[in-house]
Amino acid sequence: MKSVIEGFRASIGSRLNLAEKAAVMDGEGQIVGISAPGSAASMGRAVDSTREFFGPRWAEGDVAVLNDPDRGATHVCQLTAVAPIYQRSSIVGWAALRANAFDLGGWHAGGYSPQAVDRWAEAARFEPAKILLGGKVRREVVDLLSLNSRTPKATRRLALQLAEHALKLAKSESPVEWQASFAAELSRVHSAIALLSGQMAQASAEIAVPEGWTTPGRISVRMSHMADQLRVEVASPSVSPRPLNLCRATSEDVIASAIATCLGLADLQTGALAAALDVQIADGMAAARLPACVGIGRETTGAALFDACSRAAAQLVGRAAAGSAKDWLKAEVIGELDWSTGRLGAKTTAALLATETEVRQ
Amino acid sequence: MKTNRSDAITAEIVRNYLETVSAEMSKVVENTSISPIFSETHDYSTGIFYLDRRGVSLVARAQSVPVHIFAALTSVETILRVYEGDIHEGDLFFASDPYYGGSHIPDWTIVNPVFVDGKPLFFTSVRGHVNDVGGCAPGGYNTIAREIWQEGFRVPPVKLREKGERVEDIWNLILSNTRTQDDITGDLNAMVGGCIIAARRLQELLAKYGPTSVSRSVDYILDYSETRLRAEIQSWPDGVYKGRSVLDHDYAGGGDVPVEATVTISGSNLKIDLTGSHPQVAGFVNSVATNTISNIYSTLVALCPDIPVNSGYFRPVEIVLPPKSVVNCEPPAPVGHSTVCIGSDIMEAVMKAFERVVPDRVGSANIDLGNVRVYGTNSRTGRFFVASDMWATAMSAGGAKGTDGWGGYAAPFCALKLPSLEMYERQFPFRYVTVEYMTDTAAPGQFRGAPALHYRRQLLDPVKAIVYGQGYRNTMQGYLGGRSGAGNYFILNEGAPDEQKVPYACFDVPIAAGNVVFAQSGAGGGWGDPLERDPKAVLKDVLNEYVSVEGARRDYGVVIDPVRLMVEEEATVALRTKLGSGAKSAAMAK
Repeated sequence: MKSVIEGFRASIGSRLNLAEKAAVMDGEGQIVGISAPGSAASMGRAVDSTREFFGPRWAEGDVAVLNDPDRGATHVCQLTAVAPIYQRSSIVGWAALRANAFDLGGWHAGGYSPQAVDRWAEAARFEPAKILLGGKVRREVVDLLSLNSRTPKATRRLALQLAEHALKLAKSESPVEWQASFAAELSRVHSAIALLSGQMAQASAEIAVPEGWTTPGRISVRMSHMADQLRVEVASPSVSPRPLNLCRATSEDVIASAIATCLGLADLQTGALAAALDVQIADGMAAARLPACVGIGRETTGAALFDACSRAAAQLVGRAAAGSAKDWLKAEVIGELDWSTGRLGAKTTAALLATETEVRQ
Repeated sequence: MKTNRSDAITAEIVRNYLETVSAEMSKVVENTSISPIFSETHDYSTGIFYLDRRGVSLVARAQSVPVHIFAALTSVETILRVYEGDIHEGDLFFASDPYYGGSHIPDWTIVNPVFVDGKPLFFTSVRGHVNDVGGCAPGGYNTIAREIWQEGFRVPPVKLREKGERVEDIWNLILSNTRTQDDITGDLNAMVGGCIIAARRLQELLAKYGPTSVSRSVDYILDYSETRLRAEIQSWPDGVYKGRSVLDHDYAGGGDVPVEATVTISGSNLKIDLTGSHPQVAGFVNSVATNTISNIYSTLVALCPDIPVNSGYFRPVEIVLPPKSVVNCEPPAPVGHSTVCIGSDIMEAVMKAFERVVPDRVGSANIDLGNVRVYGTNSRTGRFFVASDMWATAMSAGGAKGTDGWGGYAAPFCALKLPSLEMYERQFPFRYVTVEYMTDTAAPGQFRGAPALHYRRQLLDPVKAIVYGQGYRNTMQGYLGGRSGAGNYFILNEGAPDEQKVPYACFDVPIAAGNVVFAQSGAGGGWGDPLERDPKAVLKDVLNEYVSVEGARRDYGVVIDPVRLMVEEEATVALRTKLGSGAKSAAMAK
């Protein structure tokens, strides 16, 4: 998995943070292997929704891509490539590879559009579509991605390399080989949860917003554990007309990331943590659906959710909170938000647009 | 002509058959579509294209919006180029991107090849304007767009079906990038259905007459139209003629945006050159070449309407477009408004150039489309809606020789139907309060323009509005002494504390439930000297309240007794003499 990610990164050669992630799922839909334990929920959702869309219509060498937050993406300017894992002509699992994309249209480059009226205004929507068919490039989907991007050549390169490396991942991974690791890590997770000193903890955090915006309020988290399961209940303000929202899978990622850091489980390499979490998110900003805008959801609602989860988990552990939303965001997003405008910072925007001439063709 | 007389009879049968097929395609779309913009307004066109060694030709079309179907020719050519070697029986194609043979993103084109002996010979096609295409503005008209990426989901030529099998993910990608997916799915199915039914009819024609006979007939049809148009051009005086039309603004803070047209007639050849037109602009009124050419063709068709319209018709016409101009823009220039503004200004500039060439045939070609698009949630259904309102811009017909401006769109757009207000009230949370002509707003002329229309529409649910408009300062022009029409403008939240007059544009403005949107839709210019208008016609206008008694005197030199409502002939002669048209009035007085 690591070599595939490194190979993909090298093939693009961009200075920007593409936040590459990889995942392997077994035939039953369980995430078994994952490069970042905090992304199991969203990667799993991306694979599930791709499987739902195509049903049995797969062939070896097919790879689908998507960017839809309702289907597991954590930002509109992010592509996830999904490929089936075949053994002896049967599908035995799934491989997914994800990276931040440079640009997919919308108001502003990079998908950060403070004035977006709805999701369609933030970027072109790509529900699952096959970019490789039997290993061969499907011109139409590549052209759709390129045409709806301010960086068409760079986006083309990124999408194709993502797909080809997802295929490599599918050819090199076997879900069965992850099962032992998964079992071991699940045991470790259960042990960590069992050691929690508190039974229940609550915390909340105010959602910070760009200058001049009205904060929607606070996001609150209640954590409790029963034996080896950790239950997390999230309440958030109503869906915002501004791009401050998170889709459910993204919120689950945030929660898992915060807990992993706090419980010392950030080095997990399987979906074990996600399997031990019981996440309940009430309808609202943290579980928004189309047409809600999500462009700066991670930086705002996501950061508040991370903080609240960190403090609640720390209460359960009985020590000071570990990890910060800032570190988590730095790992996830393509560049810094300009808090005075709600758009991507000028430096990142310039770098993003420059990929058109800089990224290897 | 390359064929003999008996082939000419077959050719005429084939021509009428093809036009009937195109009309049937149009009826299928009308009867099976969902959105009012299709089923009520008919903002779509149908056509049949033919492929031979010369390339792709338009062979037949139904009564339609000409600017659509001429542009669809380029879509077919682009599809052939992109899919060279990969076009099969059972394929069905889709395209919408303006820089890939389209006009603006909301105009979707469906193309269905018809095969003979393993090769595509014909293509049936529908091009229609869908209600939403995702992007930054509901409804697809982003008045503050500065780039094409802010306008909607761009689709290059793609297959919706491959060898008879539906391509699910492509179909889904296109529809998931619309805000009113349920309705637009129905419209897309209607367009596809029209193409498929037309393809069947073509197969029936080919089975009956045989491919050779049909191909020879198509050659005849194209040659016939070429010959007829050349004969027309030959009858026109050689020379160089100029015309101009000006947009009020470019939606980006810039002022006048002129379109310049130079028409050169030389024997049976016609050259139309738009050199001198404004450079491409920041706002969304740039036109891609396809759209510009399509609008130029539409003007010619309005001038010579009795010649069958097909690619042969346009063979004598050479078009020159300046690069990187507002009439031939390059990406990523936004083009959302271009099909009507700047499109109809292109038509108007060309029409004005013909003012002295064929004075009996010219008349307003401009529709200076303004519109108010509203979007929100319909509380009756709980569903999100986007609604344009063609009634906001209903009047554009100007006078032409022999006819006053009628209550509707100018000639090149008059296949668009004004939708039923009652149907709109059923489908959207609207209540129309007033829809009425306004006295003394019709452009004076020997044949006057239509009166301006005022409408008031109450919104029953809270919505947001996007307004875009032209023709407030530079109103639609008159011809041969006829005067210009009244201007267009809008008032949002009329009478409310947040009332806002909008002569040009606004974006995402809230309209509270119960508030009213007002529109004045000015109409086309007059034709001929108003002092030449038959006083009886002026009296009729006064009785119909299109013109006031004072207006009759001021604009037409006709004196009407305000009590008896009769023309005072002597006073009229005297006034008209004074105002400058004595000879003709004296003849009237005898």
